[in-house]
Amino acid sequence: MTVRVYDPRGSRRPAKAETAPRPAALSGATVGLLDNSKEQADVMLERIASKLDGQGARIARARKGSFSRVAEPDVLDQLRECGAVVTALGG
Amino acid sequence: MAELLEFSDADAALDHYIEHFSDGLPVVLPTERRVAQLLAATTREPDFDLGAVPPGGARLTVRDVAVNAVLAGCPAPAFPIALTAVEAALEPAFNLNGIQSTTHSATPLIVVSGLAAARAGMNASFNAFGPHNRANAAVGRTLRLVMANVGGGLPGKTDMSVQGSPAKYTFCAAENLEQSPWPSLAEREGYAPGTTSVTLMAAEDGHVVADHRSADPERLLENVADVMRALGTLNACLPGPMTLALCPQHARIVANAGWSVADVQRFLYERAANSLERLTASGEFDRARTLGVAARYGDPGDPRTRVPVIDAPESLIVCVVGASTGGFSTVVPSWLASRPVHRPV
Amino acid sequence: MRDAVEFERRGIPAVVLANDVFRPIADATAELLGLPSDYVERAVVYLPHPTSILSREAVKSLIDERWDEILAKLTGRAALSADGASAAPSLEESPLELARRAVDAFAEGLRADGAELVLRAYEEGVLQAQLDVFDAAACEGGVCLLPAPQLEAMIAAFVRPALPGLRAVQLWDPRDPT
Repeated sequence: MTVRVYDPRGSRRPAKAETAPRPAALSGATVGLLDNSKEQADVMLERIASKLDGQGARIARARKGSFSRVAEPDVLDQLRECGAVVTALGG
Repeated sequence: MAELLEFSDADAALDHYIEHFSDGLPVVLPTERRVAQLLAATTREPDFDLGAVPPGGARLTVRDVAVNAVLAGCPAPAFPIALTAVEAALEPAFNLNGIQSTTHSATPLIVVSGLAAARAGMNASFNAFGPHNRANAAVGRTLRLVMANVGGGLPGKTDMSVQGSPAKYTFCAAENLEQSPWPSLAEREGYAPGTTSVTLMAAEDGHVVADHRSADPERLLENVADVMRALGTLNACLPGPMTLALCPQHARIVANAGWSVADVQRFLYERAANSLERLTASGEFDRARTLGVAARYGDPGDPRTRVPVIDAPESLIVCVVGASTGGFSTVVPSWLASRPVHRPV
Repeated sequence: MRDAVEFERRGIPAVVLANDVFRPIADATAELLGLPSDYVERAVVYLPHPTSILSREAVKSLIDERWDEILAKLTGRAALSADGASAAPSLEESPLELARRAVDAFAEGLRADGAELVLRAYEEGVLQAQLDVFDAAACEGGVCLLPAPQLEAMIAAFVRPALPGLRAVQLWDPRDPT
């Protein structure tokens, strides 16, 4: 009597993740700053904000609740209009 | 999508699975019924994609974890914990890819802290790191079988571990919440009370600290520090995380003197350290790298500069494990291109 | 980097500030997440660990020192090296050419020992090089006498500053019968 058993080896590789094109210039663009609550990420991002201001960029800020988890959907949503994003602090 | 393989009968199927999909120990056939039983223990969608398992890169779904969990003999109540451990292992910071292929004996150490552990039948007391508990065995073994069957991590092929270790069958225990004088590991990791956390660290075998004499924290933890600072761990020349599984008896000695876990971490960060002079003679000394690391802690030109084995006090994962009737704790050094991860069940 | 993937997927390019303990696993992480093999080079800016103990002013200085690199990576221009000591790849030089130069530089040390090291290939972050011992007597006691895995580790450590995308070194060693 035939026996059917699941193959434990998972399935095939996926397509590669898409990466987005970078803006040629930042003046007039909105740059998002995502703070993951780690070690002075806020100080770093504030410094970047002041430098970006000098480039003519607008700033949008968001903060993750916990550094060990992926950003919650509403955090990602807060930065959806951005032309580029800087995240701190990974690793 | 998990495929179904057909065999003429159960014996033929079992022979094939023991030959090709086992870690050398007997396995349980992942029939549709058994896999369904485990999937019923979680609210997660069976087809949900959890990511690619290195180094092979095959995709893993919740169902694929259930298949390997059945193989591992996982009881249904422990499946959500096994699943959480697998997800934690796939977090990039854990660097499962490196653990799969290193020449070191690195393997995931899994510590489960919270009420869900006991509800799942896990053992936090006598022999917690040892055999004779189905849940402890299967939570660790499920992850190892996923690493082998989905990730393709096999000896000589992609697993370059020179000697390996019995911890590569399974290395998992629950924290003894009843006997711990401190807040649980889960609470100290920042989770709300009532949450159970699964913590993973890339580990080598545990080193036992026997101490039935010390009556104060300093003497006891100095003995712990002595084991921690041993040359021969990778931590000695490359400070990083370690896990300290204190037995309840030792934890009580420390807590009765008013010490918190943070006090333990700070003490051991200071005491579990080696001078540069000692490290220069060690077998892992690398001029550029070791002196570069030493520069973070003092003058790299001074042989007296002390290099701690843990890179920061908070890098020592402290948990209370085991029965309360003896004085044996365990220090677990780590493999160092990986950071510990934790995840709520 | 998981967050970066989420943004890239939504059409928003990301630059990741990361602690340099992340460096050894960054490429493997990018691969696990399905990112292109040069993503780390293009998008990650490193800061020395730990930053928790630094003053706010010191942290700001770390950012100022890396501002050119952050700006270049935000706008997709070639990375500018922070310290100049490890030359960053320019737009003109392919990774293969950089690998060839790096291997050649390492080989200089071997030639005095009667051995030559030649690049065979550099693909997907894996550098393959062939070791040829042309003067066994000169090789006596020299570094070329090291077992292949150790030599591979030495080569990797030497060439890595020039090849940030390096994941592994494979040595073709005529001494190895397999």
